[in-house]
Amino acid sequence: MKGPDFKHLNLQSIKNISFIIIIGVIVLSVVVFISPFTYLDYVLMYFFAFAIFAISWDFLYSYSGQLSLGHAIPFGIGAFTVAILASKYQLNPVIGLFIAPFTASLIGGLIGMTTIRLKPAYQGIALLLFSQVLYWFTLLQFSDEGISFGYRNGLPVLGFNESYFIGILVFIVGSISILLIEHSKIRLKLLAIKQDSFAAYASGINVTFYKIFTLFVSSFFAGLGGGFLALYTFHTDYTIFLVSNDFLPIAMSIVGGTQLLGGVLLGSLLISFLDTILPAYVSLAVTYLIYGILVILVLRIFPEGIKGIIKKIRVT
Amino acid sequence: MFYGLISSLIVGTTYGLIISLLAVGLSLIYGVMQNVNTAHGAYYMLGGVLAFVVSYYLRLPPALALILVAGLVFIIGIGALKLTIPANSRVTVDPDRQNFVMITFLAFATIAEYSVLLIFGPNTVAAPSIVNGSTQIIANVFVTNQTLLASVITLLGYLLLYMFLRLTKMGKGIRAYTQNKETAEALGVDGQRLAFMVYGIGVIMAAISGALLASIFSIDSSAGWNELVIAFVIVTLGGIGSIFGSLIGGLIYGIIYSIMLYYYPSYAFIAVLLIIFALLLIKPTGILGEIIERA
Repeated sequence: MKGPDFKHLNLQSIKNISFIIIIGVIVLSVVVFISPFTYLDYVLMYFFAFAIFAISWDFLYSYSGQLSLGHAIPFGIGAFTVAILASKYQLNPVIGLFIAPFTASLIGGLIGMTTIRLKPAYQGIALLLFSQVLYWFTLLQFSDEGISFGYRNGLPVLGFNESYFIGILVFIVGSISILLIEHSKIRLKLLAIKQDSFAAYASGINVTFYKIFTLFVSSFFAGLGGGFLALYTFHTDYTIFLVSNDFLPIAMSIVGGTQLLGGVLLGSLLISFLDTILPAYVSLAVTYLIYGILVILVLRIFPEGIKGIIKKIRVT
Repeated sequence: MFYGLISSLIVGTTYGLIISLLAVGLSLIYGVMQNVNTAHGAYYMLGGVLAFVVSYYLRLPPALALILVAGLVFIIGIGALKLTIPANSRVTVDPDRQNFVMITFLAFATIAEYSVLLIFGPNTVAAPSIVNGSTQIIANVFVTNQTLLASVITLLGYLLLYMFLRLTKMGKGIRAYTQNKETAEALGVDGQRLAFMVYGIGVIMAAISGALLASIFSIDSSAGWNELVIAFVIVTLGGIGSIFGSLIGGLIYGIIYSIMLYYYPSYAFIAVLLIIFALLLIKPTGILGEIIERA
């Protein structure tokens, strides 16, 4: 086991770095909104959805040591909640977005709860197994067309500007909430569980409770991200449970650097840009190829990702 | 009706037998390296695609192609392990390193999948059969000779593996190392060398399983992810580190799957996965044993 991270940084400055990066992203999103490049707005909306997804994965991994290789489960359930409510019950997708995190948290949490006693590697694969169940289930239930919604009498129920504004709100609420939870009183308990769950248990921490707690919280925010993805694209289908979607938040967190929320956000921003800009120039297959190579290179050269670079700058 | 069920039972048994070879590889690798090879499905896919390429473009006889594929995948596997995983993470019990390795393997699997997609396109390919025709089992039940031969090759593979683990010095080392790492190291077993050897053998198992199944069904670049899940299911059923367990697990999986497939065709895979998931819930120690955190 590695020693404590951030040997040279105190807790407050870690929090400040993340906070500054969150503010920076908000400023960036406002600048992009004013700028004439409409395509960048879509890139940022994609980023809002996946950034919340990635930091929810990182929260689960870095703060309780639970490895989810099937985090597309709550993400997809959030998206399907918004889509089903909007298409079957004619509910406004914005109201659906309020419900999505709760269904995602409930279902994702319950599925995850069954796996908390497994070793991290096996927990990851058990969840991967379940995301495949949902992949086939949604493919059979909703066919390969999935669910499209959001148009009434030929007009979209939600304008572009409203969607963008909701995206910024989702981003602020999601990232600040997770940051506050990560820096609350239970921070040390969660880190202790990650580092050595037996020692944590021996020193009186209710390991099972906190593992379940992080699962539900993480699924909640993953559902929020997924709900927003469905809300602004007006569409959801089975591909949301693809293995590549299980892999994406992990790649974002690792490129950014796990355990530092701001780093994960920067990693998400980088990969969101690659993910939306690259397919315009090269095929999707090449895009995924570049990802794979990028992840392996980052892991080999900078095992700590962007976090390692931030650390160096702060220390020197 | 009756003949249909018999027929699907036979297909299920042979399918289970061949796919269990994939699981054996995963189990062996975990036993020595303590790492889950999340790229295992990718080697299965590579085995199938390479079997097609070697026999179609190089026009080699299918039997020779199988040996060549095994060699090629062995080299790819060892190369990937050498290049992507740092020495201190190849054999490890540290959860952080295990996750690091798992994610690296996932990235490697993604690279393999999309490289194959770019080179060979999205079409499904089928490796050519070694033998043609079919054999009558009883009245209306026929099995293709290729399926029978593939089963025989699988059993032969098991026999070779068993002999390797029982009789050779390296095989004994692998078994010792799986049982107790510290003692084995103290007695002079080199864990690093074993890691390469066992990884190579493990991915060969995956590739042969892929090549054989590609000659019965077909395969494309995105194959492998499902098979990774299936391999995990089988290893879970049979118990990790046990060759015989994987064989039994594979047969059970194949038979349940084929019966489900006979009665509920579209929900068969989901049903099997849910059954295994329920098994995880009900009996997290018993059959699984090793994979539970020792609390």
